[in-house]
Order: sequence, then C-alpha cells, then structure tokens
Amino acid sequence: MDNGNVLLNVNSLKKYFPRTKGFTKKVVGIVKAVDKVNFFIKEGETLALVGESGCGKTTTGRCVLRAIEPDSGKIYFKMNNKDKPINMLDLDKDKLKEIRKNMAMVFQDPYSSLNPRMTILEIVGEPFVIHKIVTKRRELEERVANLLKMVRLDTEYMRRYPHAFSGGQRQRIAIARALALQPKFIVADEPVSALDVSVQAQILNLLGELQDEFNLTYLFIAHNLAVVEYVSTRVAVMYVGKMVELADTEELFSNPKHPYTEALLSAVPKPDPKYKKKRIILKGDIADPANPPSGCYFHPRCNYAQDICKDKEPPLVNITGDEEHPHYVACHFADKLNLLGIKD
Amino acid sequence: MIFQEPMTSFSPVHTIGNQIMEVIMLHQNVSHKEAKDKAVELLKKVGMPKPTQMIDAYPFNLSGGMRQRAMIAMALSCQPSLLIADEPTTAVDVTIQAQVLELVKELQKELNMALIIITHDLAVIAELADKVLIMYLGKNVEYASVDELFYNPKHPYTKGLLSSIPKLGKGSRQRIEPITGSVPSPYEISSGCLFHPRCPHFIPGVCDKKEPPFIEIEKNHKVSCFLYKR
Repeated sequence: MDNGNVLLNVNSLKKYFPRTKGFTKKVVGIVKAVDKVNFFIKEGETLALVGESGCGKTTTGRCVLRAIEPDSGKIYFKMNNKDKPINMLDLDKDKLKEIRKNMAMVFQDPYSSLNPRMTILEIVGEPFVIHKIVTKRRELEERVANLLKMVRLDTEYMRRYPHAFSGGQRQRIAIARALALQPKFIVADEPVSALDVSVQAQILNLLGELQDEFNLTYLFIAHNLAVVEYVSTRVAVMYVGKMVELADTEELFSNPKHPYTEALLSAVPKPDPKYKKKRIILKGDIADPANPPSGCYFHPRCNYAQDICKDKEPPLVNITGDEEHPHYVACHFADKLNLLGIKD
Repeated sequence: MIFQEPMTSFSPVHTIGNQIMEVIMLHQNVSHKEAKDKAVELLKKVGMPKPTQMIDAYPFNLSGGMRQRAMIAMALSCQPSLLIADEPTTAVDVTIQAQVLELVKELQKELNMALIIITHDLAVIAELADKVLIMYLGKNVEYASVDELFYNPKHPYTKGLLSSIPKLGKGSRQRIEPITGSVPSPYEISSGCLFHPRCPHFIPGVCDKKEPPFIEIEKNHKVSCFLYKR
C-alpha cells in the first residue's frame, strides 16, 4: 500500500432486517440488505457504490455513519496516518457524536431532506448549534454566509424557507449543511438523481471543486453509470446485498470481470443515435433479498452460469494480486470469461 | 398511453387482468371471456412470464419492470396507431430500462405504430426516436431528425443540454459544461426569448425584447433563435 491514508476501512459489514408478520410481529423471514461487505476508502478519493434499486447501497452508506446500526462487522475510521484507527462500532454515544463531526451525508431527495419549517440559516447552522461550536447569533450568521458562498448561493437567501428554492439550489443547501463542520468524509446518496440533467452537471462539478479544495473523501452512491464514471476513482458494484466487483474506475469500465457488471454497462443507452449496439438484456428481475437464490445470487440471470454457480457461492478475490490497484471479483469464472467493457 | 410511474398509474385494488379487460370491453364489442383471452394474449406479447397466472395479480405483486409491461399491454389493447409514452423508463433500473426499450422497439416494428416519446433522457431519445422536438417552458425550441440534432445542434439550449450529460466511456477526462442558472418557474417567465437569462449567446436589446420565430433554417430543421436566419 502506498502512503495514502486509508480513511475508512469496512470489514464484513452486515445488516439484516427482520420481516415481521401480523400483530404479534412474528419474524417470518430475514432480508439480507447488506451481507458481509468489505471495502476501504483512501483519503481524497471517491468510491462509487452502484447497483440496482434494493441492492443495499443506501443501507451500506447509512451503516457506515451508524445512521442505521449495523448488526455486525467493523468500521475503522482513521483521521490521518499517525492516528490509530478507531472502530466506529465500539464507540458510545458521546464519542460517536465527537467523531461524527468528521463525516456528513447528502441525501437523495432534496425535496424531503430539508425541514420545510426551518429557514436556510437554521438548517445550515444546525450542526454548529448541535455541537455547541457557535453560540453567538452574529457569528452563526457569518459562518452560514461563508458556507453559502462556498456552494455558490446568494447569502441574502439565508432567511428564506426551502420551498422558495429549486431542486438544484436545495441540493446546494444540503451540501452546505454537510460541509458545515469541515468534515473529511461525505456520504453522498444519489445526490443528483432527483435533479434535471442541466442542473445535475452543475452539482457534479461543484462536488468535484469542493473535493479539490478541501481534500474531501466521498462515498458516492448512484445508479447512473455515466455519472459514476465521471466522478469516481474506484467503483464497487453491489448485487442483492453483496459486493460483486470492486476496481479502479477505468479498469472496471474497460475490463469488467463479473457478468453482472458487463450487463449493467451494456444496458446503459448511449446519447448517440449512431451507436446502436447489441446489448445484453438481462432476463428476469433483481432477486428478492428475503429469499435469494442458492449459490451465486446472480446465477438465474447470468448468461454464463454453470452448475457450480447454483451450488457454491463465489468468494470475493483480488485477481490482479496487485495491492496498489486491486481488482476484486466474486465469480467462479472471473479469469476464464472474456467480457466486454466500454471503450471510447 | 404509457405513463411515467407504473407504480401509481394502476388502480391498486383491481387485478391487472381486470384493468386490461375493462379497456377491451369498453371499446370492443366482446364478451367477458373473449376479453380475458385477449388480455392473456396481450400479456404474452409484452413478455410477461406466466401470463395466465399473472392476469389475476394485483399491481403490488409485480416488480417495476413487470408493471411497466402490464401498462404497455393495456396501452396496446385496442391496436392503437399512435402510442404516447410519457417517460416510460425513468422510474425503473438500467437493466429493466434496457428490457422495456427493446420491447417498445420490437412492438413498434411489429404493429407499425407511430410513437410519441416524452422524456428528459437524451440517451433514450438517441435510442428510439427518428425526429426530436426540444421544448423549453412550453415553447418549441428546436426540431430536427435525431442524427441532425445530436451532431448539428443549433439552439444554445440544445447545445447546453448535450454538453451537460456525462458520456459513458469518456471517464473523468471529459468536461461537462452545465447550463448556468435553473429553469424559472412558469409564473416568472421573462420577456422575449424565454431562454435569454441563461443563454451564453444573449444579444442585448434583441433577445430580451422580441420573441424569436420558429423558422426552418435547413430542410427539416427548425429553430427559434435570433442567431439563425432563414
């Protein structure tokens, strides 16, 4: 490993939701939303988490911040190279609050993530109030004004309520709130999927500029692969609660090793009328996480599935053997298949 | 008509079979049993698995992709010559989106329908459309064939839209150029050309005074912008 600080190291993270039935809340099944997920994020990089809806991307993002309590696993957070890694799951409430100053979240839907009864000043200033950093009103206003400038919003808007803003402006407000305590790490949960294409580009560029300016680290959750390729350093693909592939962005897009990744890439329509390609159409729907298939979860939809895929679950292995640029895949035939990626 | 959200456009308290049969029985003079046979036939045509059982399913039993298929079956029930699809794939995942687009293309060829597709996703347009009309705040902005529009866009708004989407396969080397500002609310529309407050080629005294006419600048390529003359 090079000298880049591993900011966050997640080890076999698990979150199962019980499915209950009736008045007595009898447990009738377990939804494995996140099942033994491993990954790490280096300081200053963007790790993208992609997958179809219901595959556990958001749950993973929230578990990392302990916004949802994970069932088991370890989440090591390390401020810089000298510090000892801290396991987030060992912390009690007070210590967690302290360390949470370093992390923040931007939510998917800017229409529901801002309290309609609070002004922008109250929304963006709330982190300061919660952590008792600023007590004087004058100072609070100054700090909020600075944050609004950072996300290119007019500081005069401070006393308005969220309803007065457009989707793109709201998302800027949410980003300003996330930046308030100068965090090192931001979980961005589909920050642009609720926005118009023209505004989407503004927010993506803003996130990129802020990353350069403050050396931010992002966990970027998205399902739009074109957006993911644009913003991320590395990409992790999830399918029904499990990580199926994780590699550097360019490697993953040009040289996918998991059939699911190949299918995802080929399913994306290209904004170019001359480009009519033969695509791989996946049969059927995404598997039910409460009742997943045996062996490799992907085998019922996979074009390359063989008998072993039905019986044995493939482990997630690094196929390059290179520690600097690992390429993790969970497929029995990762080294045998010749899969197509996306090329210029 | 195919609606945007397959989740909410079906009645949750009726089976999809009943809802499709209702359309058939209203418009065609057929018995209940014939309508049911027709509905099964339609579901089979749109690639619904096990159509004889699925006809008795409620919308909440179905996944997004299957619901969208049922919706298409309903729209096709009276052999329309025009199908209007309002954002048929925005509410579903990419893999399902690919299935639905492929299905619509096949059916169009098979039944020889005209198709109006309403969407904000330029990639879907590139995939399906022959001709494109770009709108901004209720007005025509540009009209051209697909190839013409993607390779030779004229209006600044069209150009802005095309340069603001990240393209797959270009990676982080590409630069996306967003359109500045955001779409104004329909209550505070500006004078003249409606796009002028966000336009990079704004001509003071012209664009904010008069509304540009929608003119044909090349064959089958219409634009409403003062930058172009007939």
